[in-house]
Amino acid sequence: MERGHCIAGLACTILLILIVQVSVAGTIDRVVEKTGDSTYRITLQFPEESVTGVTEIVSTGMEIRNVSLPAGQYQVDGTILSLAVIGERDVSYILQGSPGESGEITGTYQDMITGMKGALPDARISGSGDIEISSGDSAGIPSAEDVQPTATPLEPGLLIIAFGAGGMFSLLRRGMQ
Amino acid sequence: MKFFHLALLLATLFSIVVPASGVLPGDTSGNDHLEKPELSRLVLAALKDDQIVQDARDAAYVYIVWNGSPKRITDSSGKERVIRRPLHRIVVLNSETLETMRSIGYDTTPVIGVDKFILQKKEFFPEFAGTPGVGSIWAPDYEKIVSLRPDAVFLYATVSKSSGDAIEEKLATTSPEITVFRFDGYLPKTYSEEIRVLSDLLDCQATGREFLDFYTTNIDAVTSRSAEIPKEDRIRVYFETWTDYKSCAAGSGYDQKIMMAGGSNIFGDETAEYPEIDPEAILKRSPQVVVKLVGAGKYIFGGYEGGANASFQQVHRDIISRKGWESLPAVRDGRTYILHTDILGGPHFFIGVQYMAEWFYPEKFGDLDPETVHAEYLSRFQGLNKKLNDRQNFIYPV
Repeated sequence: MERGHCIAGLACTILLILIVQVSVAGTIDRVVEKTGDSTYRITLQFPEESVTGVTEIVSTGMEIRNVSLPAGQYQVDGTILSLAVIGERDVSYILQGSPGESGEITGTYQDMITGMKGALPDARISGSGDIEISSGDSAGIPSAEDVQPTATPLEPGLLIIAFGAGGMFSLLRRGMQ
Repeated sequence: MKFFHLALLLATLFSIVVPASGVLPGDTSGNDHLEKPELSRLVLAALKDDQIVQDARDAAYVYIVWNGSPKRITDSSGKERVIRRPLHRIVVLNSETLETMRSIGYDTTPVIGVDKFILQKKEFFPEFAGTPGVGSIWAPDYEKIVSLRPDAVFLYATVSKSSGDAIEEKLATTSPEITVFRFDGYLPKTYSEEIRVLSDLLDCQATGREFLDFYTTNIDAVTSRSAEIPKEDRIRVYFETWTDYKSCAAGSGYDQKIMMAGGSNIFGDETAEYPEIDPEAILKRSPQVVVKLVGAGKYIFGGYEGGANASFQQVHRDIISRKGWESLPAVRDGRTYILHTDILGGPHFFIGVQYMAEWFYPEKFGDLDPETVHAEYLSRFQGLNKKLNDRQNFIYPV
């Protein structure tokens, strides 16, 4: 492996492992942080005064624990996590995977004040622990009663980071072959 | 897990058996206050059952906007009204309240039924063309009202009080889930308070304050100066409604408006609120100004619906040609005016009051510009074309 490839790989690792953040609907962000071997902290960031219902589904074999909300505000049912977010800005939980196994986190949200609903950014964790996050449902779907969707487009800066990280990851893989 | 299922069952039951305004959505403790754990349970349940999403949304609104408590207001009938959910389906039986809803910036989408007079005002209420009609306060279509499943019905508070009382009583008996609200929307004495209360009820406090400022500024522009005119110096006014020889007395909205403009109502001392006047009495009381109201009865022309402007001239000609009127100071001095009810009868009365103040005291109120005020009211607060303010449709002489 050439030296340049090593630098690219290091940058890629920093970007992907430390923090990957993608905005959805201009309101909810997902942050995934590797905290240990096959252990990840998933953080969802909400706007102020939000009342939002969230359903997260993780791959079979992953365990959800240490949800930061009080007991009555969440429900874990196997690989499904339901959250009632009422005014909290950050909600996090720990995801424990199996070493060497890949996994996926998908989520949906429904804002109970605006009626907006849609998908959260998906997160994919590779067997080697790399994290990839795709954009969520940037437009959101207003319910029939709601005529004032509040969604804003994906932040361009974050989009660039995500694409850049993806490109570097690809470069690194080619360099290793 | 079992607890979650129990919560889901409770939430579902609540959504089915509880009247819309009877209990706060999600208030499983029954203490009339929505706590965070109760809202949490409802939101979690809604994630699994689409049928209770609306309950969860109402509960979220109550928790965030109303701090978890019911909304309590005292309307113009003096009664406290309580709602425990935001209003989704509203029937309005008085156009004054609907006009005020627009003024305070309320999105009137929830208004799903209106009275027949609102439907007739196609130019002024274009967005309600095609909205189901529910009769009028004097002849309500109860079947239609109930079939619309409203959670609130708006009626007059003091005008035609017995008709409003009858509707309220009947709805309380047959459809207790409907909350009745009563506002007048045309009386200067109570209008400021009505703006405040309606803004609070409909959670339009900020935009309501904007309108209240506009209204107060334009009323004060007249009353701050007219209040200084001593009673004995006030100009004598004969005010005639759209019914010939029918005037107004103390306690009526028209009387209040004449006084605001600095006039002295020559029949203010009559016992009936809207007295029939003996033509001889008019000659004896010798008014200095005559104001004839048009826009209803046999004088349907002009106003927002427009048309037949020549009729203003005709009515004016007929008035000054009445037997013996050539001797009245008002006629002799050319101070007989025609005013359309569209700018005096309802919430827009401050425009008509400005026109009257100009007519009563041209030197004192020459700086007023009611036409511009009218245009701003239409465009800024009613969402209408400001050119609807054409004075040829509202006053004569122009």
